[in-house]
Amino acid sequence: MAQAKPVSDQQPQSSTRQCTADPAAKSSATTWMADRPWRGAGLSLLLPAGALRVLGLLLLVLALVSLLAMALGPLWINPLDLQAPSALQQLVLFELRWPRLLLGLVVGASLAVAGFVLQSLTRVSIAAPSVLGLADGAGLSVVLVLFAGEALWGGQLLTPQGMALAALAGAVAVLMLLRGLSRRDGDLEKMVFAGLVVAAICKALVSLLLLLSQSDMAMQAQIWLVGSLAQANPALNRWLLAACVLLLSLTLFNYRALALYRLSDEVMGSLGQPVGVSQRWLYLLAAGLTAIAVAGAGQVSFVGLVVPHLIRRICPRGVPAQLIGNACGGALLVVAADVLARNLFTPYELPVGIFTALIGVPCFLWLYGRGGRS
Amino acid sequence: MNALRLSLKLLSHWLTLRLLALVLPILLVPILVLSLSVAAYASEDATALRVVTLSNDSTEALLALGLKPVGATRSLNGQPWYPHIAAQMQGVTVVGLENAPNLELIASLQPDLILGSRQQSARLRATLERIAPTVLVRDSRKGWQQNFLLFARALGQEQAGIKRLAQVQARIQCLKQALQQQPLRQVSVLRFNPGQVRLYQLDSFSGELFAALGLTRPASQNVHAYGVNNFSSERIAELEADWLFYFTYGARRQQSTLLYREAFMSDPAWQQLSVVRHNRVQSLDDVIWNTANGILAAGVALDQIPQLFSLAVPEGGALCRSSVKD
Repeated sequence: MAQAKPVSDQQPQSSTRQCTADPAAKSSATTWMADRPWRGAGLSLLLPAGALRVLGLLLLVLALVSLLAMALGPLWINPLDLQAPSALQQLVLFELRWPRLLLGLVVGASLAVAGFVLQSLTRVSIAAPSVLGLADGAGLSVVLVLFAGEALWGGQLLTPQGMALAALAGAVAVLMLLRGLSRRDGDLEKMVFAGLVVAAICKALVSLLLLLSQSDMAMQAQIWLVGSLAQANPALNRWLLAACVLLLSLTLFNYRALALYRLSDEVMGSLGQPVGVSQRWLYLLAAGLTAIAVAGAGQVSFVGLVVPHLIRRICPRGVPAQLIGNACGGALLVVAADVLARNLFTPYELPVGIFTALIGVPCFLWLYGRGGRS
Repeated sequence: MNALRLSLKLLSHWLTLRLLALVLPILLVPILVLSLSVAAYASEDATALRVVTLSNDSTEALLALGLKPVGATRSLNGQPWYPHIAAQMQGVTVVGLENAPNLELIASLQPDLILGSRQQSARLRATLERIAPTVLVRDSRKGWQQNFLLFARALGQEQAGIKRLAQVQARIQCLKQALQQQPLRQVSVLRFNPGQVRLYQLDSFSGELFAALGLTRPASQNVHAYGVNNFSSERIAELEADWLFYFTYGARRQQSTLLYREAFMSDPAWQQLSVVRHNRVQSLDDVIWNTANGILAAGVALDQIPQLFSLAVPEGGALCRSSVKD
């Protein structure tokens, strides 16, 4: 309520604004947190026809690439033509390719939406899970846990679920640190700068730990630092998918707040948005989404940074359309990158992060060069 | 009378028939079972076992037992196989890298068994188990003898494995005696990595070999651990020993690593080491002594011992050659 107070003070000056002048609108705005949509009001999304067309196209391409991901590999299998799949075909399709595809979808969607949320909240176009240090924090946390495991329990490996929790803890810790650093004056640019610094510190600490360790940890940790979908397994996928669906729908339910953050704090405040509360929520959502991605695949680069910009170019209208577009676009980028990573240099598999950068960055540069300022 | 004899005859015939009917199954069943199980054993014979190996030490274990994997990961720095196993690995499918095996390719080889190490493949274990039973040793670089026996047991070749290992151990004992007869028995081991030096300690492949040969180590290397990364040039004095051996990382010997090695070796402290002044510094093959970790590499390493330590080799023969040549 502390944030809401200045609004009523300013009300006389800003009486030209219809929404604040109207007492009914004001009361509904100030009590926004009290009747959050998922408490019964239901979700209504504003999706213009143009956005629907673009989203439909994105979904279609995503479905095609997913089919391709299921079909391509050392063993060509047509997933649409499976009358009597052999045991080997079943194994490859359902035990190897499907978990990997699912993980790719989850990781891509989570990262892109996390990037979009962070860019909207900070209004800084280079904000992304990797830039703000969330991904590095998660990576550092995983390495710390591996290191402690080596020192205390003789290198007994943690379960994938344990790793996932460690990643979440790391991302949230970095987030709290950043929020703490920028709380004093709420300077968002400063926060992004602090994020860059924290990312650098986390990277340095990871290198330090790897050097201090008995070196076989470097090999285990490497996979968390470069990003790969190879370790996809159904047990962890179930958790990641559930968490991803939950957080994505929470973000979607919160889209109105997100739409306001894209304006400015003053406008938000004048619209009666309790800035601090919903901001904390949204940052937490971004941290959670980042943690899902890191826990599932390690640090996959560029997705959170590039995809939101690409989607803004393709489908410029409205936050809900952007959110859905980002989820589809991120998933598309990661799955397509993984198809290349798996098939380009058979029998060798490359880390998916190499190809997210190799595909994502040229697309980004091309689109950025084509249009003027975003 | 006739009727009686006839009936007796019939009775005896009937009895013999009954007896046969009783005995035949008793005789036949074990024979059948035996022959079936022999047939089953023959078809599941280890030579017909389709094995995929995910680490070089497991590949070498297979080769040492006279088997051949259907698929194996590329040797670290190999192209794709290390020179000392390349001839035996003709026709084996490469299934990716040790730290990034191609699971689909492995599945398409339809293996009966997968061998590897936890240090590399633990995170993939759940998926590997869905492809085939998987046996992973804890760490390829530590305890190569126990690791070899574990692989042999997994392959159903425990006795052959024990026998094969005993040959190597006999050679080690023989060489150990030869080494005891000369005074220079302390060895120092380090490796030039890109941009850093690593000191090796007892729980490494070379450390275990040297220890088994009865050789001692300077204090900072006489520790039960793998090694020390980023060994500083300020600690060069700790390297003092009767012999100093070094590996150089990489098959293709990056120029930067060579330059780094040169700089390290031109350090005044290095020049002052008595082992350097006595010219007892030697380069060891990084593959054989450090990254292969297998029983075949151990054999090649033992072959090099007489020459490395300038041991007297009997005329026209080799010192401590195994009687059975593999």
